[in-house]
Amino acid sequence: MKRDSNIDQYFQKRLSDFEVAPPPGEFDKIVAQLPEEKKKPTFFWWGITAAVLTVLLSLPFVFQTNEELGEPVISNIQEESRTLENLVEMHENETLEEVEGPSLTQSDIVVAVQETKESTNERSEFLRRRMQEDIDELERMERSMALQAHKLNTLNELDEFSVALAEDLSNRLELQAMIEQSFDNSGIFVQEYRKDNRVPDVLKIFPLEQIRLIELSEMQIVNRFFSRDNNKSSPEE
Amino acid sequence: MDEQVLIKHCTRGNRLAQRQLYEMHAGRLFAVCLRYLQREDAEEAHSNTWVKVFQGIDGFRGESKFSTWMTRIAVNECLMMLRRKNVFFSELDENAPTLQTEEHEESDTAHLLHLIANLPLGYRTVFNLYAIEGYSHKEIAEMLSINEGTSKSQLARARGILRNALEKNVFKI
Repeated sequence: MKRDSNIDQYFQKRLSDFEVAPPPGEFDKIVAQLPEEKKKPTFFWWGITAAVLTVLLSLPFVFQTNEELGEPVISNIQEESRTLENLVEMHENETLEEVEGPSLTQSDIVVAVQETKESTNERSEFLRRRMQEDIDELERMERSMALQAHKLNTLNELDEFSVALAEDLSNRLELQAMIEQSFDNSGIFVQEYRKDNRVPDVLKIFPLEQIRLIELSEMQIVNRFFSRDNNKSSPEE
Repeated sequence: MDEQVLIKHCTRGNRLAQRQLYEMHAGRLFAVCLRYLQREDAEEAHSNTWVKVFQGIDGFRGESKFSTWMTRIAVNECLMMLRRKNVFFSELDENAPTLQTEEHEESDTAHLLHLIANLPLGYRTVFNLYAIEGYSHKEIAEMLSINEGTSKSQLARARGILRNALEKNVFKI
């Protein structure tokens, strides 16, 4: 009995997990016998959801139309149709009256057409002239406005220029006065300036362009200064 | 990928998951089929097994191991194939052959499979069902439409033949 059990266990142990390679290409044959792959019904359910939402959202409008707007709309339509009927009746009466008036001859019609044509021509000529006048007027206004604007611009520019000139002039005068004052105070200034060949401290507060102007003025002042010195020294000699 | 995930994808018919599941278990299932049938029939039974596995995978509830569930399907498929061939398991082969015990180059396990494959059909089937699959004689009797006594005697004869073969072939049991 034990030997029987042993032989069973022996075979079971060895064969229960034993593997043999299946024939190649078998899986494809198996798949060929299977139904098509199930697609996810995502789009279907999205479609259903969208349709349900649309219906739910449109329900309030449907009820509003039926309950709140139904009666007034109908009464409005009825009223309008009555008004229209009245208008049609009035128009028919007017037409009948016109038709029932004195009968027209062919010459009357020709004259009437001629008159209408003439009056239309006159009217159109009148309108054309008015239009041309308006155009001319507009062009004149445009030119005048452009000229005015140009004038204004020029005036503004002139103002700005005159302001700049005045400022420049005052700066120059102020500067000249300061330099003259400096020279009057001491004749050493010019000597130091020449010796060190640098911009004196008194001029450092001015921008470079103005310093150039100062240099030009300075030359004149220096000339004058020396000429004065010469004049002073000459009588002593 | 995890087997449970593969099974889930297989229920939706995902081909990639089916291929991975096939590659995981095909070798073992084909060996099961080869224990019951000759190679040609085993191939057919194996293929049919997989078709049934994929078609019926929705019905797998996870109450047993998936490999056990598939093995049961494979065994049933092999038995159905034998029935289609009008095999009557109640007939005992009184002239039981002596198995070939020549020197073999294949592995020990492959040789054991070879020994089982050379058993008479009734002996082989009962031995497989009882010793390896673990069915009782009562269950085997119902499956093969035989009585329990027949199942027991076929098992005893199968064991005797295999023991002789193994003793001659220096297998230690």
